Amino acid sequence: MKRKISLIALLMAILMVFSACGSGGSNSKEADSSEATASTANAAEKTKAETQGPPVDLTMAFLVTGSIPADLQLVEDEVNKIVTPAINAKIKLMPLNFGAAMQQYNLMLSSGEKLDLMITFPTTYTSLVGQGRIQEIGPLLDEYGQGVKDALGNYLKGSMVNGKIYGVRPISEIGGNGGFVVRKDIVDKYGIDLSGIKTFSDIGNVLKAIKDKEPNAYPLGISSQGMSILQVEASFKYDTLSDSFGVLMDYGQDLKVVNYFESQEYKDKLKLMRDWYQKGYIMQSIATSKEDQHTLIKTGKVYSYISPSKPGIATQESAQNGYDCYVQEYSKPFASTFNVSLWQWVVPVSCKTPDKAVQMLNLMYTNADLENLLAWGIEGKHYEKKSDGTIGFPSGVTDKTSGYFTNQPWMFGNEFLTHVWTGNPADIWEQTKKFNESAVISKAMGFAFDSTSVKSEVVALNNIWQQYRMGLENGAVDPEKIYPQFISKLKAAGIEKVIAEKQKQLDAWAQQNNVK
Amino acid sequence: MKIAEDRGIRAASHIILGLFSIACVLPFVLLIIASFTDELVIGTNGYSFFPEKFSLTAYMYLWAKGAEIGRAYFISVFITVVGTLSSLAISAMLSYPLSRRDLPHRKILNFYVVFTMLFNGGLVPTYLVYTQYFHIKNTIWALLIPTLLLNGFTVMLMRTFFSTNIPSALLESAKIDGAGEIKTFMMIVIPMSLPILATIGLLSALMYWNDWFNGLIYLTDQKLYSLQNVLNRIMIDIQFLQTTNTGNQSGLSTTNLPAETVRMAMAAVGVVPILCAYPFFQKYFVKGIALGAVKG
Repeated sequence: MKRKISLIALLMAILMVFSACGSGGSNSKEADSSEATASTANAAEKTKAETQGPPVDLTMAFLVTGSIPADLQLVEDEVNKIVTPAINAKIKLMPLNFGAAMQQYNLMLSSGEKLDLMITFPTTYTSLVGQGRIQEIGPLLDEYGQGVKDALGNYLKGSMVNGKIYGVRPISEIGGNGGFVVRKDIVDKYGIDLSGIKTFSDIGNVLKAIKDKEPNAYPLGISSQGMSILQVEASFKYDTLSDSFGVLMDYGQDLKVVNYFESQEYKDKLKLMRDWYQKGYIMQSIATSKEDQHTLIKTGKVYSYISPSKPGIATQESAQNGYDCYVQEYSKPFASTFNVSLWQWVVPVSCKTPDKAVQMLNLMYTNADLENLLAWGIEGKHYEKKSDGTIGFPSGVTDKTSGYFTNQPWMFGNEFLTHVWTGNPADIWEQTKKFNESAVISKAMGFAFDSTSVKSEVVALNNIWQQYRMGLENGAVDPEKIYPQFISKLKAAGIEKVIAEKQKQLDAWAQQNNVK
Repeated sequence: MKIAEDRGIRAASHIILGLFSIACVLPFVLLIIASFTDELVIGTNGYSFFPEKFSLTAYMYLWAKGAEIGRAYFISVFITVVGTLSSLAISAMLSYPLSRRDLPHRKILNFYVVFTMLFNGGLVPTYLVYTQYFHIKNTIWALLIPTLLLNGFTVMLMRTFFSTNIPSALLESAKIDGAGEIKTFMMIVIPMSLPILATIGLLSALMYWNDWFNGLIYLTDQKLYSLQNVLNRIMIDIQFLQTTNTGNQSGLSTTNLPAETVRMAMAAVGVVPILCAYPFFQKYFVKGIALGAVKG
């Protein structure tokens, strides 16, 4: 018996040693071979480009949902066929998952790992600047980035922090306007006229029409999980100056910071929401529901919601909702720092060759072939051109089997250079350009509020707003009773102090930049 | 009288423990049922033990994704087996000397181990050391070494077990019979310590099987993702898309994300192997912990 046990122990030990060796062996072998290929490749390149020096390695991080595309290496090779001759650099694509990227970026940036270009999250851009983790690229843009500057034009200002440019935003639609998304079959069935919707309150008529025909349904649902209907609606019309505590009313055309929560418009809208809620136009569990708008539509719990609109929105929302939807726009497109500075391409401090990184950016904003490769993959393999000028999957390929389908043309620089995916209008980029040109631009475009001096107030205010928002701004509670509480709590938490600080910073900014 | 009392207590404890077991098992049953439920039914009715409609779509989806899931499965099994065995060997080889009273500087070495239980370097410095000096980023080592390979708690458990359950007389007699230290360890100590080895082995196997954090921070190459990493990636992707206001640029693709039932199916698939392993360890489990925890 004892011998048996000791044998087992011995076996375990041997197994362990072997398996450890095995994995170690394969690893070192892999490393060796990759080193070997790298060195031969380097040597080959050296002889080829002796005069230019070897191509500079650039690691470029971008974001994907789901698994890393299977054909990433193929796409990377094709990308380098364009990039290496043009700017003598070799791109290494590094896709990260949306969910994991925040943590991974943070570790990579703080440990100084090699990373030359990355796309930031909307919320982290200014804090990255504050922490000194990304480089100023303004002067380099002057030198190498003419294409970027031409493409972005006036909107480059949205990326300014303290008068310096640290990043550039990918080009797509600028800002947004109010849209009412509603299920097509319901509208067609009851012959409801959507063209009457010219303002937010007009939506009530349509909701009434649906409610009359289907008394048991609650037509209007949540706009975005965790956001109230009025919160989404406010972003179409007011420059929220980053946190909504102190906003510029009326499309940001007046540089006076006001307390939006005390404005007459806000009070009126609260009453309107309460009215809709009591008449049963709004989903009754809206304040506590944990589902997002797409799930609600998909499962037939609601028929409509408010959403930011843009050209091509109907296709996008229909695909996510699982029902064909109409989108009725009811306000002018509006652009502020808040919706311009969403995503940014930035150059981390660990990048030793920022000039090459900026040259790469320039290529991304000007080279259509490169742009399409990054956005849609390789023609003939991952997409093919259709007769109407749009592109789609080659036959036999679906979104589940395609080796490269990130479906994010907006991410890689200049969306206007990419092919249009099938199902969208072929001239969608023309429409988008018009949309951008027609946008009302907030006068405070380019101003970013630095909240460090009133940090604790802002946190407290956010907590209060969070507490009241879903009930009050969706009409689920009685504003007569709750609204005064809300206001007095905001005041106690120091909303006036925040507004005064904002006004001070905005005035200084306006004087500096000559804005009136 | 006494018997009746015993019966009452026994009945009460049976009821309490029974309820407790049901509370443990029911969520798991619900998970399995949800994985077989039709997607739309979950959306409209929520989770239910008696869904209106069953469907195999989730498992078909996993089958279609076979290559990715299969590789993740393989990696999970690999790191669990290799990791557990190495972890056991290293822990045993560290804790046995610590349990010997004749070890020079025993106190300092003991303190050195205990210290790691209380303090650590923090995430960023740890990451720095592992990636810049040991270069484990995007290698299989990233899943094997950090945090999991050796931890102070298991060493302490084992040390206590060794010092209380291996009589020093036995070690002396081995020495008299001419066994060296290594032979004593392999032939005497290890065979006598099977309960603690099984216990620590199970704990360690569970930790390896369930770990996703190492993958999250040390891997960007998803070819090395373990099953938990794949599951975790899907979860955080969905969470991100639901909670982040992407403003007007919500061209974010949700088409690549498996739906509710698929997540349930993946969780079910992920639990099965560890469920199978558990009964084999169980008989040692209680014994091992109790013996190791008694102070010597």
